[in-house]
Amino acid sequence: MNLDGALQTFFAEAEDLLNSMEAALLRLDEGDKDMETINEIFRAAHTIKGSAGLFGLNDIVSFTHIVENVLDRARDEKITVSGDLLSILLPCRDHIAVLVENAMHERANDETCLAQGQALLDALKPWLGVAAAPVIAKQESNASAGFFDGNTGGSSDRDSWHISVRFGPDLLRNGMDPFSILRFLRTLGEITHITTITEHLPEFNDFDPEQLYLGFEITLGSNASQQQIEDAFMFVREESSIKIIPPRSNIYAFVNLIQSLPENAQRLGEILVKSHAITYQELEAALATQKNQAKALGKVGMLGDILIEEQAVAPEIVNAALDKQKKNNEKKSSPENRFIRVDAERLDKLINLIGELVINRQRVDLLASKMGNPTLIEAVTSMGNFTEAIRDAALTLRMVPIGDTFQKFKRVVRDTAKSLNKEIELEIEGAETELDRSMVEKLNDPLMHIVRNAMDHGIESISVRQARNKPDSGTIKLTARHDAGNIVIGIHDDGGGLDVEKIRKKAITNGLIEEGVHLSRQELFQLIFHPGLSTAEQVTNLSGRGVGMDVVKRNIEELQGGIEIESEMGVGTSLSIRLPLTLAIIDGFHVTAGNIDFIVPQNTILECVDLNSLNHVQGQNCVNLRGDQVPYIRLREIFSLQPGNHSREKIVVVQFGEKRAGIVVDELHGEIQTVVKPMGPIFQALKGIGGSSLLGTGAVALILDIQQLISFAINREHLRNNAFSVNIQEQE
Amino acid sequence: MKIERKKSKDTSTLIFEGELTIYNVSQLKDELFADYDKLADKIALDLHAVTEIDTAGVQLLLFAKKFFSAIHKSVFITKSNESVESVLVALDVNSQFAR
Repeated sequence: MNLDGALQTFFAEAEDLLNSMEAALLRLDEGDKDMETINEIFRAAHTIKGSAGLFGLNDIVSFTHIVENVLDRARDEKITVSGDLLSILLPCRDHIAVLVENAMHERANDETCLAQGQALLDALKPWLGVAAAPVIAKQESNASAGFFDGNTGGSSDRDSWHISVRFGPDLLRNGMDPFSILRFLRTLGEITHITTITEHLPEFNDFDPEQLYLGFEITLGSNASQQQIEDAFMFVREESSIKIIPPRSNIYAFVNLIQSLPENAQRLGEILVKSHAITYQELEAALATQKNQAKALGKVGMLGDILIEEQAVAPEIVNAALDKQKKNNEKKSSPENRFIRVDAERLDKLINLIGELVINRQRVDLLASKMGNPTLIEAVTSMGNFTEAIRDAALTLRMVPIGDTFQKFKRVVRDTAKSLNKEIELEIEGAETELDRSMVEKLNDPLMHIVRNAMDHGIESISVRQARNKPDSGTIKLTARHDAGNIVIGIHDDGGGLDVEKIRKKAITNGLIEEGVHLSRQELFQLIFHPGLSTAEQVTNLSGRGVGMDVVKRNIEELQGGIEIESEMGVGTSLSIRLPLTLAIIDGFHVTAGNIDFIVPQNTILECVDLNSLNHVQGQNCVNLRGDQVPYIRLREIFSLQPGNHSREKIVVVQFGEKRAGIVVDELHGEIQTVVKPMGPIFQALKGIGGSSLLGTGAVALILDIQQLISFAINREHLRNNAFSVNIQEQE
Repeated sequence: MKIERKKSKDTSTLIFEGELTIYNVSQLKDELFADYDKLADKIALDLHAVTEIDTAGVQLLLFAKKFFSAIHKSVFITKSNESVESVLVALDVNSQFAR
């Protein structure tokens, strides 16, 4: 779960909530007496406060908390919302909007703003009632003060909750710090006791310092509802294990907790005793009872039975459950639920089924045209259109905007820049560009590495930048756009650029290339993806994180994509990652060579021409296409297939990124819906083939890996032109 | 961020300087445990120059404590500052690093 993404969601939600709050307040002003309207306002304030607390937006929390208290009294019909109060509540809403706005632009709230807030709070005082006041003062001091100057003594008049958390291992890496949750819990009440669970710290070799192994046992004195406490864990709930025991719960709730946790029971028992959740005698007795009953019944794990038998479920739990249910019901009536969360597996299953449908439709197509019944053909054609529409609709279900991924880098860039003593800004363009969800996940690591590289090695230190007449603050720009069935992701920095000569020297030293060999700029740049080639003079704390540029390239290639680099010394570096939109179903072009069926991805094809109609470049596997020399390869040749009829050969001109090449085949068959099946493990090393697919006839077609074939064609012509020019005559 | 080592009689002092967060814990782990067999039996952590510490940083300290204890070396904090102290107290792990 990514907190920065969640923060954006919060801002969007807050805006919606503030709008509906304003509308509801205005309805009250027009004489609306409906309790539901007041509820709506209360819910809006409550939700904003809760979410703001999670992100440590304390100004919003402390202000909204008081507004919420007033609204709560209105909800309980202790006060009525009329003219006077309305004329304060509306500006209060506006003030929350200002605070949210400031938080969004990461602006501090200036004194005028805070003074306005205080004035509004003073004005609210008459409606607050006596009992609420001290609580508010407490909340305020908690919110504004440092983390641990609060009162740590137990509070006997409050209820104590027990919270047991074991966090997901990737929390830290995802930019989330458990501190923010503790900080939020402190806005709900007082953490009277906390134990950090270190039992899961692994052995030396297994310890990954970026992984989270800690857990917490927390005693929280608070009047908050179970829902409010649960909300604190909203953004980590999915990956973490969270157990909340309400105040004055029966001892068995704790026994149950101890048993459900992975740690040693003795140790947990001691923690609970130490935190005054239970007494030692109670624990002993409960464990003993359970052991005896287990013996008697001859089975284990019947704690549920005990709970019921001993009527262990405290009224508070029932209340908490009812409270939760009530909240859920309230939620249903609001317009929030426009999205449905669907298990990714179900979605994958649907896509697979549609894949099968597409294959079967091709078979029906084939049979219909064999029978030659025009009515049947017409029906099949229209069914075909729907199949395609269903396919497209299903594929969009998996599409997510790349913006969430990009947003994550904001914090990474800000924090890393600080640690490097550099000023770096992150610009984002095309955040709404969508791509397949499974690809987004696999893009994270390569992008992270590239961005870190750009910050560490790309952007210069402030003094160097000043010497080069550049602005102090460096810029990293993440862009995304669609381009002919591909998505192109750009990472641009205005740093020092790549030093071509340095790369060449290093490559020669490392034996990657031989001295005197001519390589184009792009080819030299591509050398940085070779394992063991780092041009950084100094290894800093960011490099050496275990992911090299070679791994970046391999990850991208696994997604059927490619990387291109453009760089100018002293000006900056741009990397473009080009990826197909989806890997599941593609529009393919069916060809045969040597009696084997092949599929060329349709979006790579520029044109198809008769090979004989083109002028060949003398002595090379190259044709002249309207003045451009295009190298080509024969599928029959590179896959060692049966010789066919040379006179009817066709050339399919394909393009990937900026590179072009021709693929010579025997016959063209036309467009076909292609369901991509990955190659089995034995064939995965096979170059030039990206996958396989079933044709309507039941035959297997191989899907060509155009990127690899183009590189192969270009490299071969290259070698021919340079080192092997002598041998051309013999080869031809 | 860097760790400076000083050794006197039976105590090695590790002086941490800079941030102690998720962004450099990997590097710090390598530095902290490099040639650890050369450290004295008492390991004093000097954290007064730590500018920022987060959960990942605390976790690294706890790990060091656990690791060194297993090979019979004691780990304690000699110097610290307010912000580090407040975090350690908030997680109630400060007592583990008492001398």
